[in-house]
Amino acid sequence: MPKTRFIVLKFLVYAAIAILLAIVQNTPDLLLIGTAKPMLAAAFAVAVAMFEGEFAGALSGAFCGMLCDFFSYYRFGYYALMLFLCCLGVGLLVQGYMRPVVLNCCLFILLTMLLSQGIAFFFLFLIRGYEGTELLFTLGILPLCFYTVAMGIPAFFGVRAIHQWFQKRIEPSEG
Amino acid sequence: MKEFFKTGRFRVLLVVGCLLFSFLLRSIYTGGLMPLLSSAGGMLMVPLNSMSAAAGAAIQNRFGPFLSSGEVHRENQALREEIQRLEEQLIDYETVKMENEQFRELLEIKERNSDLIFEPATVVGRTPDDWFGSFTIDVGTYHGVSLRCPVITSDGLVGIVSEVGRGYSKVQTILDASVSIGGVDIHTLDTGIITGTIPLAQEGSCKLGFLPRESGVTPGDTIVTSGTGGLLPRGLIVGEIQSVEMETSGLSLYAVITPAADIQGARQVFVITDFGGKDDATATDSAGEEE
Repeated sequence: MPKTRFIVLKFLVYAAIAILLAIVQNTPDLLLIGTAKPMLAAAFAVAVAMFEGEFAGALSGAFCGMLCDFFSYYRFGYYALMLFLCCLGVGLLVQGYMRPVVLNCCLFILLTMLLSQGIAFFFLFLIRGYEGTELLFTLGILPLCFYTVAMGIPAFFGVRAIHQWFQKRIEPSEG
Repeated sequence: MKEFFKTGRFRVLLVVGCLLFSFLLRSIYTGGLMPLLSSAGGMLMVPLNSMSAAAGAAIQNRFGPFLSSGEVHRENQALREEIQRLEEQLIDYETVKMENEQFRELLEIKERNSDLIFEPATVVGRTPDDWFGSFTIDVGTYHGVSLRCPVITSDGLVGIVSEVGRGYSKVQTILDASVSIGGVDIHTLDTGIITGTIPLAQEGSCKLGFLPRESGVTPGDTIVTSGTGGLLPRGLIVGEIQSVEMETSGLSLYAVITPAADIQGARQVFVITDFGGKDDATATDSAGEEE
């Protein structure tokens, strides 16, 4: 029973942090460098997927994606679907092939951001033939991706600390 | 990894994935009318973001000098309490002052346009992917806001409502490349289409396109909305012409407009929920077509 309680508590903590990060990332003028702001909730979702596996990771990706969708430029549900799929992939890769280290986390966040922003960029701007799309990519999307990657480093260590703290309390009861 | 695809967990995730995809399709299909889930979520997120936006603005405007004088605060508890009390009074004063300014602006606009019905709103969120200065406001269908309602400040037009939930709405600005609004030069009466472009959006400008080659528009002219189609009221100030250029096709001219409203820095806006000559049917159809 304590194990279940700690697992539930762990995911409640993750949910609370995700909501907080979504609020921070959408607050006007906060964390603004030039015109770029980071997608903290997306970085956090990837970090969670690395430590919690594909199932919990995918669900946390969907949750964080929805939080991003409330204020996003894109249609509601876009980030939820993209982060769900990306976090599922991250979870599967970490379970089978890659180690949960900070460099891999940065790589996963970069790929997640490039994929989600790249698809939207392709369908909303490039395919419609707007002039100056390269400006949008270089001055808008790339800074957003790299800023998010940079913020992914504290997210990784934060999630790892939470994961380890709860794991210590969950594992003894397994034996 | 192969085993994962045969497990019950995979089936659950497949169902969740299909649900999320259906949410996205519904959101696209309804043309910005938020599904129930987003409206319910918005009821949680908007007040929280509203508080964080207000706190951010208060810190930026008022508390910066106080935060740097931490030593003085620690040394004298009595003074600290006094300052805190004064700060609370200051916040009250600032709130009243802000409301007063907002109502004064409202009155000013109302005097200019007696047929307009306004809903004051606060900018509660600016997302990291706001390439054209788009933002979220704290009013929605509950306050009478509908799709394509114009959003203005006392200086001029900011944009239009692109998605609307029960307690919040997303606003696409006139810098957005996907926004098209009829505009007219008040001096020459030449009409064109106001729209954004990606390069101009980087400079905070937009353009009045499809002007005839023989058009007499000149820098300094004021552009207002033409009001054609019943989507926007006539005569809303958009901005001033900065320069006049030839389109790359060589068939028409376009004018670069400096918006009258501070789009990137707007915190308080007004949504025009109704106006004389508004065509609700056209507005709904256009919103649907655009999607």
